Amino acid sequence: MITDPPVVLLPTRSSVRECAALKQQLLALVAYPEAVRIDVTDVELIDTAALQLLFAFCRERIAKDLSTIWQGDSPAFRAAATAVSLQVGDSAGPSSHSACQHDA
Amino acid sequence: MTLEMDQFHSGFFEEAFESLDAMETALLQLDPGAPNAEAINSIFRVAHSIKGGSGMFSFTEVASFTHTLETLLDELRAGRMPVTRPTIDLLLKSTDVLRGMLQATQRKSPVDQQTVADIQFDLEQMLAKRPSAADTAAVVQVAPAPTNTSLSSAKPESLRPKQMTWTIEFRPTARLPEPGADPSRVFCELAELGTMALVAHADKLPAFADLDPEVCYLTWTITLTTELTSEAIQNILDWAEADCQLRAEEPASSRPDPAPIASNPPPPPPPSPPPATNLTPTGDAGGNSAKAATADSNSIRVATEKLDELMNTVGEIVIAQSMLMQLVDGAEPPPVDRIRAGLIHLERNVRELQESVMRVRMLPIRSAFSRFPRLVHDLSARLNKQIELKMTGEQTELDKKVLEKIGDPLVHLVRNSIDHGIELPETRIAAGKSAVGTLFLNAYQLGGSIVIEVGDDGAGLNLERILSKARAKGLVGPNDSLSNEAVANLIFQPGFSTTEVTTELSGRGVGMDVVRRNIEELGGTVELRTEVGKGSSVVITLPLTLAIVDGLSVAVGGEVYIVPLVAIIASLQFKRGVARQLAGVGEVFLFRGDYIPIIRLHDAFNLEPRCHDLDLGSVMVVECDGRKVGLFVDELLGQQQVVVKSMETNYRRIEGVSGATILGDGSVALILDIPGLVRYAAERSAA
Repeated sequence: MITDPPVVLLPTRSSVRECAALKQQLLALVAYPEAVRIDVTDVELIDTAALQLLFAFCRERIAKDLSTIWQGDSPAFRAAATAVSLQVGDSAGPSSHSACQHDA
Repeated sequence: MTLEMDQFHSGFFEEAFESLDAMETALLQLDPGAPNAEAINSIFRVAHSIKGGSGMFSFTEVASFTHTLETLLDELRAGRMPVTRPTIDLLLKSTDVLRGMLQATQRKSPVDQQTVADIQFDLEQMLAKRPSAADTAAVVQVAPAPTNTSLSSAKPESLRPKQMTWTIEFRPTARLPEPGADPSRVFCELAELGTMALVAHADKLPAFADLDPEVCYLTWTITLTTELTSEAIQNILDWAEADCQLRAEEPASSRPDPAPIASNPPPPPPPSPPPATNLTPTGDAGGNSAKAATADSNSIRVATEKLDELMNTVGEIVIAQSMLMQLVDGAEPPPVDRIRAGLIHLERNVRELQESVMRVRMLPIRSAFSRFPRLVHDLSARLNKQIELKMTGEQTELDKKVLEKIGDPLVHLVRNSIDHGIELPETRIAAGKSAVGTLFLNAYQLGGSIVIEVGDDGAGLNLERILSKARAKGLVGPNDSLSNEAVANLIFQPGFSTTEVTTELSGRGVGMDVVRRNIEELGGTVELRTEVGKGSSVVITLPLTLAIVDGLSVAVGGEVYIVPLVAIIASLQFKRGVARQLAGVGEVFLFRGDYIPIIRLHDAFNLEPRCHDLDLGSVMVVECDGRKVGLFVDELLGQQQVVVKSMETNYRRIEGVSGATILGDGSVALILDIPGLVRYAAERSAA
């Protein structure tokens, strides 16, 4: 039987205050044998703490040879990741100042 | 604006205003002849901190202004410019402008662009006139301000204009929820200085299960190519809660491109065109602005010792309550003696709690005094007077509400002393005094009151002139004989001034009457002492708090009223026939040589009294504004402390009543407004 992969929907505001709850959610999935989807569509604000948490989650799954699928798009997510040089995939490179748009 | 950001802003503004006060104090203490290196460093650090904070919060106007200010201060601390009186004056003006900019930013109102531009122009002009390196040999050398990051530059400062590439190892140290701890803000600031490359390192990241989301395990290597100095970089790094190592490398032209990201990133979100996302919701911005503007006056900083004390007392009360409950629930019949002892214990605890809560509201008078060094500096310069300000008792604590209201009256008194009291240097020398006059502010606690003295060693009041002016104005009859004290007190009459020249500071006769009224509204008194040629002083006595009043409860008809003890001079039992009817005044009686009007409280409040004859009730002599009145009541009940409840807040304003309180039996008693009743007596006489 084919089941839909679990989806972690990141909240609109994904900051250090939300990280404890997010970590619990991700911890349950860190060794999940199937692909895990992380949906960033709603993210309007994300800080370094949340990015670090997601980064650690992905790294651990990669180490276990497990798949994580990114879903949706969020300019705020991209900008925040770029600002701390955690921008991702094909565009990996030095951070760009124009990406630095912040509000708490 | 989010609530969290509001909190950060609030913290920034609070710190910035405090820092500006410290900066002003340091500037006022700066001696142009022998400037103190640490003082200049501390002033620089304030400008630097405000610049960093305002830049971080994108308060660009403030950041830009403080940048210019900081540049001038940097020249001073490096010894490249001398510390002169005009420089200090310009820096003081700059603190005023900066304070105004911060206040406007806090209130979200426009900044006064013209004033800012004027002072910024002056700062730039002063910088443009800085002496050349050869001229600075005699200028004081000041060590750079210590910073919390280590800095080592391979190139001398003289190579400033040349492009340099700096490598910064950036390791965050603070927990991420700390305000401003997010490294991205620092990276953005640095990126504005030149071309920046950023490499993240994840080697310290623990296993996911062990990861503490509030700790930043990531570190970064920043490569920054810029024409700016190491200091410009350091200025930003100083704001980072991080361990930073900064080192200079080869010129930019010879450097290879920065290395790519050294960490394993998560896979990318699909590269679809981004929708328009509002990163800065504005829904509650307007709603919060008013709150932000008033936050300062509605908040109070409390020392943790005071809170601990409060907690201890509450703990004692809980224990006492639990003990009483056990006594009541346990034995049959209940042990009355032990319950009574428990209640006495509880009463003591409640009194301690009341005192602890009152202490929480108490603030040092330093905050009211802190404005005076600057005021004295500015006014003495404007009037060509030499004045030394001596302040004592700045640690004396006063209720926050009283403290807020005492500021303006004190300013009036200090201005008067400077303008009218202390003489010009040549006049003082001719009078055999030192050219430098002394203005003193002294505060201390005396019993349940706080005493504040404002005085000077100036010329003292010219009593003859005051009397002649009062006679000319018809305030005193041509044949009236007044004591020196009474003559001196004439200056508290509305519109009274003996000054021939009205100055910008004083002399319009507006002020001293307002001073007395404001202080009396606080339940305080004002006393004036003066000696010709020796000086004058005004002694203000204020209650420790406005929240609790020592009062005498009195019965009138079926009601109980509270008369503030501070206003009562005497309580009398009349003999029959003591009172007289005086034309134009009404009922009066002789008290210590003066005829005093009588107010029958039942008439004033339209009540049916238990007794109409003066010899059957009691009369309290109360005083306000130098005028005495006898209040006739049915009976004096006893002295007690009462907690003041506002009439305006809970009901509406009532003439002759300043507030209300709840008595032990649950009934409400009104607290008499003595100044209002004295005015009522005066108006009744006039009618």
